[in-house]
Amino acid sequence: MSVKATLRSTGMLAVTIVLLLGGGYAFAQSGGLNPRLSGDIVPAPNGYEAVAVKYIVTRSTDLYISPFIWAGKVLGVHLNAGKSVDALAKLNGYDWLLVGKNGTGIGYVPISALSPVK
Amino acid sequence: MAANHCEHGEPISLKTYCLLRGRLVGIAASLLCTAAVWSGLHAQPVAGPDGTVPDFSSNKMTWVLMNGTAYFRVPGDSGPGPIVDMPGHEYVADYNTRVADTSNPILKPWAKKLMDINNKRVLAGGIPFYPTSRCWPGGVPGLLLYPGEPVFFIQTPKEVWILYQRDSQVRRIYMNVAHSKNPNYSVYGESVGHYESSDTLIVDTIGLDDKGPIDRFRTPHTKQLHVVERYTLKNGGKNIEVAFTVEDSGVFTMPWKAKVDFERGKGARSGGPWEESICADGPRDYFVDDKAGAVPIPQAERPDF
Repeated sequence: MSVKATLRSTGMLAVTIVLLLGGGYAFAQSGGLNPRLSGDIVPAPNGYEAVAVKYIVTRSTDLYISPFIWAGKVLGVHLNAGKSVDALAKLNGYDWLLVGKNGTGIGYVPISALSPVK
Repeated sequence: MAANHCEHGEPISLKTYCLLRGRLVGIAASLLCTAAVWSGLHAQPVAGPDGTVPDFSSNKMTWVLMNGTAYFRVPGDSGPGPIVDMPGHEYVADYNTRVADTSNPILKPWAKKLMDINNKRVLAGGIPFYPTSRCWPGGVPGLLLYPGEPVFFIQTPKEVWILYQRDSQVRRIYMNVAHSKNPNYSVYGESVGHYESSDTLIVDTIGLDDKGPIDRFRTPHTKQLHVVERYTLKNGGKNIEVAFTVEDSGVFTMPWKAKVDFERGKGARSGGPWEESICADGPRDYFVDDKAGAVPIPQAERPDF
């Protein structure tokens, strides 16, 4: 098995495990990801796609209720550099990630503020 | 070497040569420049079907927004119209803040939820976000709502420029050409236009980025936004009505129409010298209040170049 194939199957296995463990995903009728969202989090305009699960905050940032900085922060939450976070999904068409806690989306963060855990 | 570059210290003969050469180059440049300006000023614009062109710009005329900072319904339009004040929360300038009526059927569910959250925060005393309050450029159609400061038009055969005194914002409309196949995204997008008649300019804009709302009700938009504006002279040229159609399948369930009106500038706004009006996003956040979810200074996600 090639390295690429191994990585691909490992990635699929990781997503499958997340799904089986109730990682907050459901699948929308359109076939895309449909993560659970906490109360004041706005669904992504164009849906979601899967990403690596663990990220490190590389630049301190707020969490946002949508992938628009102007539209408002998640109140009372701030991510400091060095913190590890769970990314539930990437937003289609936006360089933003949905960050989650216990499988539920709690806010959006620009990808530029995060780095995947290797 | 010295003769080639006309530097100081060369013999007199070379100095003379350089002087002459400099003058000749200057004269040639002046002639070329004059020809270009003459050509630009006197080439005939592509007129509308009736052979005439509306004049938005004569005698250094300026225009100023009328009737406040919200869009209005287009008379006769049977569609849903723009987002307006929530019933019972009508906006009064300098007294309260705008709260959106999100029952308008144009909103997709995610957009309605976003605006409902913002309404809730504003009604709880939070500071609403207006692009102009943070010196963000207005976008399209958002810059139509710039209040107070005058707007100028420059009409040439190939381009119409709409200049806003506020922060010297400029829109460039390329006349009688088609849109690019893949325009870059930007605050003012790519605008193409044509004259429809002796009183109407049509402007079609795509390629708009999604970095701000399109109105003061904090209505979002995506990069799919497509705006068609009709600038029409009214009342014998005393007013401009800007009626526009908005399409954005990422946010809206259907196209909708709205309008704003401009009047000729009066007094100090009547066409005096262009005043420098700087409004630049600074490093300080004057609205720091985490309870309000204040908006931070924008940061680019990637280099522009």
